[in-house]
Amino acid sequence: MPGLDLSAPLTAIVDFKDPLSYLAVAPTCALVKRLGIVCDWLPRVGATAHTRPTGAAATEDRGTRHRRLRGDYAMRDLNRYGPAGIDNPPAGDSRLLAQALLGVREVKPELLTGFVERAFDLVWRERAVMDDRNVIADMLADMGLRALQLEDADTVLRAVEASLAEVGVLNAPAYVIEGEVFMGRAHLPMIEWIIGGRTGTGPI
Amino acid sequence: MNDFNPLVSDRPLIVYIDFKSPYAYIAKDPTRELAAALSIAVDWRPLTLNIPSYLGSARLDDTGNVVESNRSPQQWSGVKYAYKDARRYASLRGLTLRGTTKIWDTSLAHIGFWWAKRQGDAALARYIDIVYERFWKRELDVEDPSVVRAVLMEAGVNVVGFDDYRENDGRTQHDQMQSAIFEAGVFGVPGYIVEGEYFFGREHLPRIAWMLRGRRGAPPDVAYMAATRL
Repeated sequence: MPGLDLSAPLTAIVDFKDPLSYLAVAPTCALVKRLGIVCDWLPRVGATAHTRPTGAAATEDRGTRHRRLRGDYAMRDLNRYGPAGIDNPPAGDSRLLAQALLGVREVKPELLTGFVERAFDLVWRERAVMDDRNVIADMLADMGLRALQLEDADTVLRAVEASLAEVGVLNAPAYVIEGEVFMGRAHLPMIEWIIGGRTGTGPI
Repeated sequence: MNDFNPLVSDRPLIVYIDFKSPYAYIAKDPTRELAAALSIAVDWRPLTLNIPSYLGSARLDDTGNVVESNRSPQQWSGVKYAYKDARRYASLRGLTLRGTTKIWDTSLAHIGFWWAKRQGDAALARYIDIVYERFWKRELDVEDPSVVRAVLMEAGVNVVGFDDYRENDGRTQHDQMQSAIFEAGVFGVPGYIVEGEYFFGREHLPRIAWMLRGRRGAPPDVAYMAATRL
């Protein structure tokens, strides 16, 4: 994939407005720490996987009904596994945070995991408006990145989006390891097994 | 059919599968292993997925070229990823998942499922194993009544009366149950019902095991995990 380096032992792709991405951050960071590896992070800003159709349920066809059932189920699943409020996405658009992530990745990659953890915390726990430039600037300043420039960031983000689509990343969270795409945090045991040298019983 | 409830069973775990689902195929053995570890009986049931209604439809020729399709690019990407994903886990279990050239109608094989189920768990398990393995090796035409009948016999199932059943009561009951299952909110396989709750996907097995063990300790997250670690 030209222009996008996916050579890290593990690349994680997240969307700051996506609850499934939020639920994936802690177990992903725990795995990275446990294995002592470097994790690269990339942003995704597309539609979330749990979108529910709108409109009158009484008039819908089988396909729409199916999508509604899936959407309802996805919400129940979020509440089953996530903390209170997980089914209430934070306000704002995630593009600016995505651009900030790419900026940190460029200038201070060693701070990237900390940035991702802090950003998710900020918008999901502290309910900050995620496209508020001041909020993002304050967060970056707290990390010693007051001078981070984001002028060309949208162009870079669009290129990353195109590259991720090309490699087959359809949803967040997703992981790329050894060139293979895995979508969903349920794959973390498989990822750990692969990075650990594929020893012992593999996951199912 | 009168006493059929999609979400209720006299067994602690209901499992919905469809023979044309690769994800249901790779979930079968881990689910059995979990049931064995917990010493519980599973109420296996067929769910005949209506794939075109949510993933579009397509037909390929023998060389894999698309000759008919109403799928969007996103739907194609999703289908391709699903097969690739299922294959990498299947390969760890030595299972073969060959590509398919069309969306199969598995309703007849599922009518055979109910017929086998009436003759006991062991007969049903043998029938499920034979159908899954051969179907995914593309060695079984699950739309051919004589093929389904032969598999039932091979599984040790008495087939006297099956031909009449598949054309009459079996078909009627199958169709009514499929509607009831979908209306109850069960839309995909493998589907698990525990304590009246629906779980879609084998990644929920850790949570299901935790529930069936009495909810002791912290509730586990979703994970594709070997049954020996559940």
